[in-house]
Amino acid sequence: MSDYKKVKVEAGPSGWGGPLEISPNAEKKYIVCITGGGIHPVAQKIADMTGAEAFDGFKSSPEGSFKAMACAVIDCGGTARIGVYPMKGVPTVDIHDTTPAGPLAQFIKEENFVSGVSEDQITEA
Amino acid sequence: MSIYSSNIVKLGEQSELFLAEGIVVFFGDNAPEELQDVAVVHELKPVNGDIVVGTTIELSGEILKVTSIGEVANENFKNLGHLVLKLDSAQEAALPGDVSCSYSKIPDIVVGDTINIY
Repeated sequence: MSDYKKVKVEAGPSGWGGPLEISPNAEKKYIVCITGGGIHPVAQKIADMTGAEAFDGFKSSPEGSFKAMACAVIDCGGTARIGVYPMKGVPTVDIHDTTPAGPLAQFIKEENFVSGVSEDQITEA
Repeated sequence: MSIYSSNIVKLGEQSELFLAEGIVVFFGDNAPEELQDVAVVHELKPVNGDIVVGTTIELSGEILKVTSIGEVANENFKNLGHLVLKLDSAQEAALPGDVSCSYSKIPDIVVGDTINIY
């Protein structure tokens, strides 16, 4: 179970932040998807390329909670989720073109957040 | 016809942070705990139709009128029971998830209050 691979996730053409290197390991083994309608293709691609498990974070929380999240994939419109997962120390990938905003903006950095991400922005690291 | 009708079941510990900036973050009661922490949590019910400019949002007895709506706001509401109200009367949504509203008084939200959207 130790052959996880890394991927690089870059901001989309109108996105912000990153690039992030998503590097799952035995502890951080879930790509947690907190979007509507199950596992988003971006989360699935990160999971497929890294060997980590895609997890629907809206249905339940993974065992180990935030410590078990290699990254969170969100479809945040700019105010809430954008800050919640960075605040919890989880690298965060937003599929929408958002920039730091809202009361949690202080937690959102280029080092822990990238936005405007589609499958095209995910490459081998 | 009513687009949505429900009741408030919980105020997340950090919802005040948002309310202080005139932002009401809603999530349904099925949302993960970390999102309920920042949210005004409502009992999740079916959504009938789209919120548009001019839609009325009756929250805790106050009447809010939608002045602009971001392009992902309806999608997030239908999929996740997630709605972000900005009490700023903006004519253009600043962020894709925003539902900007005009208001006469900021709603004083307590558990048990109702939200009606029509």
